[in-house]
Amino acid sequence: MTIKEGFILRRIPGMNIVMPTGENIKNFRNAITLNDTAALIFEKLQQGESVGAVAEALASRYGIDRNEAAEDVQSVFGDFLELGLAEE
Amino acid sequence: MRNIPHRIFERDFLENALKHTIPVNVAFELTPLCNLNCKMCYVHLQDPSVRNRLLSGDKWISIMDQAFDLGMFSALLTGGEALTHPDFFRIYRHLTDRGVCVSLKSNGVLLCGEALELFRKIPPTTLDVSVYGCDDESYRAVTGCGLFETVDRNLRAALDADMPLRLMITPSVHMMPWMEKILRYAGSFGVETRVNVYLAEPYDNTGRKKEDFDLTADQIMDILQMADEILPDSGSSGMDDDEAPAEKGGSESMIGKGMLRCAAGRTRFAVSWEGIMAPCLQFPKEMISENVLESGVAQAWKTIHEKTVALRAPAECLNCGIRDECVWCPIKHGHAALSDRCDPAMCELEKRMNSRWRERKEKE
Repeated sequence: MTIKEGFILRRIPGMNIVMPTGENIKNFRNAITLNDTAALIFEKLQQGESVGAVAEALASRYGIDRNEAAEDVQSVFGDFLELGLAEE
Repeated sequence: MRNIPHRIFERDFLENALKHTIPVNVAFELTPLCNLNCKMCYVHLQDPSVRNRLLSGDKWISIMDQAFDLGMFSALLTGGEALTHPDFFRIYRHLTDRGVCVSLKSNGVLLCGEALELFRKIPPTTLDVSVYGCDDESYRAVTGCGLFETVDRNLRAALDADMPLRLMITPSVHMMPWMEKILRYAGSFGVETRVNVYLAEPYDNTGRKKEDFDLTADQIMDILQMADEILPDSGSSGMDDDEAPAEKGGSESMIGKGMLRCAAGRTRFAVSWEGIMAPCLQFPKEMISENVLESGVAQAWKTIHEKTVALRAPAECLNCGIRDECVWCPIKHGHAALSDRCDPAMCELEKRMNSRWRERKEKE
């Protein structure tokens, strides 16, 4: 489960936005806004972390159960897949 | 995660930028040099020594990286002719590699070969090409160069390559004999065409004067009427997005009375070829400017923003009959603005432009 090459997460006050980069700009014309949780998941996956490690980070950040966090990660990853941001 | 229409996204994005003072849109005037010599150009310099004083690609990239760190999302590359900057391609690739939306303003002469190949691979967000004529004679009258066929060929190649092409027409007295033909020629491309009727006062060192090429309010209204008839679907307009009253930069209730109501200095800035930051490209540097090479981009932006917010329209505007509709702008009022006054000819034009804008809005 990884984020595809050719995307960058921009964090500015009040917004998290994923933009295409380089030659990916031709294929991906949209910008995607993420909430803070999805941005954290995107960032960790892009850094090459495993789903387990991402869930751990989420559970620690928001003080939630690790299993619940893992479900959230899976759900958000499903959205990333649908949007073309990620691959299995 | 939100999947929302682009228009809503843009509105939310700009409101957020305004709220947090993020310069999301930045214009970079890469060079004052150009391969044309337009008689109404506010920036073009012909002094050959300028070539040795251009900021290098490394310097520009450093400035752009600092702007990126402040939250820049969109960059406009312009000039002079931006494609003549020796490091243009490296700068363009650097910005797009960082996910910045890059737009380009060009005269179209060099829009071929390596440039077109690069834009095929990595398309700009918008490619604005100025149209100066409809044949060699009109091109020579406006730009001093008979390069119509070159530009025409390049425009058609760009269109074939599915570039996000937009045509820009800047009328002046030199263009008037061919105005209708030029509008028809632009219309033949079937892309959005903008008619920019606000001519800027050329910088002092250009040797040009606005009075030598300026149009009367009657001439401008006639041109816009003609544009409406010839280019009804192309979105031609006398107003740029920023100039539509209280639309893009925020309403009076958001910003305040008697102040600049566009995005300049609030969510955007420009950097000149010498590294001078101003609220926007043509903004009189005598009023507000900072040297980014001396202070760095972050400090310069802070100062530019503070000075922009403190800027007030001339006192005479407070009792003016059109003050609620007028988007006061020092660029439009030229030398008068430097003396804290309005140019009466511009006020008259603003009055008529606002009526036109209202009529168009009602029709929409």
